[in-house]
Amino acid sequence: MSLAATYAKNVAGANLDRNTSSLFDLSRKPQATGSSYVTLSCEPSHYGSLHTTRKSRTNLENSYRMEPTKKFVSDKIQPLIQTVLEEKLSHETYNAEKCAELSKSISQEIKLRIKALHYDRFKIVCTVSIGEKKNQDIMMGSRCVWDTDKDNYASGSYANASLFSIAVVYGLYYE
Amino acid sequence: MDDFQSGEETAFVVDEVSNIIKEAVEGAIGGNAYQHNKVNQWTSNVVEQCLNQLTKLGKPFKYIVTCVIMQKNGAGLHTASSCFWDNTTDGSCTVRWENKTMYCIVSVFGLAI
Repeated sequence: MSLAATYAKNVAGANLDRNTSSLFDLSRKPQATGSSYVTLSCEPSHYGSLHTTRKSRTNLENSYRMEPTKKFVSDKIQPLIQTVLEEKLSHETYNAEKCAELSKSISQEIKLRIKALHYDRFKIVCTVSIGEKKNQDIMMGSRCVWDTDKDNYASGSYANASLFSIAVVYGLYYE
Repeated sequence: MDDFQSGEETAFVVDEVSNIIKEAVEGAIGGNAYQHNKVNQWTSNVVEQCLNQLTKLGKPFKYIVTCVIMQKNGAGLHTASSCFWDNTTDGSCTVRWENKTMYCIVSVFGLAI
């Protein structure tokens, strides 16, 4: 009984941390491998392994549904992404601290708006990148192993004189 | 439909994934200086190598792998992600790699089926 209570408290604590800390919590020192430095950053929930064994998966009953009721159509999501980016960034210039906060808040905002559209049984992953414009070159690529019929993605971009921004949303159907 | 064995075998193991990513990046672009005409190929190579190794793990996961390669110019870049998923089974891992001429940031999201 007490073990379960401790476990529940740890998980709850971990959940709280997850909501407030940043993606780039460095958990290891950078190591030099020849001419490169590799730093590892990962979700705070895995840091320190608060609970070594994962909670066992809850077994859900069969829904007997093969297809999602509402398909994740990228043409419907793309205008939403574009709107959010323009709303938040049209009056901004690049500033390191502000853009760090902005990227987190924009990704949160996009995710919340998509949740409001009620895509049932879809898991949403939303990534936002904001960069400074300094005549540098940048290349962004992404590949996925998923169900090509049911899963999809949508992306949007925005640029002004001092910054550029890219947002990508992936929607994956949970069978 | 058979039940998958829950526990360590079907969890998203961050250390394992981060090693895969590091090896993929080192193999694809380690020791190279930034070259505009090769960046496209490099991004594809990194991502494909990551995905191949991840699928070889044989876990019941869907993977999303993102790679950003940026020339080192003194410019700043911020990346954030927000996910709506099952915290107990899904996870992500991001590895940041750099050398004298470029940055490479690879993110892997693993979502349980």
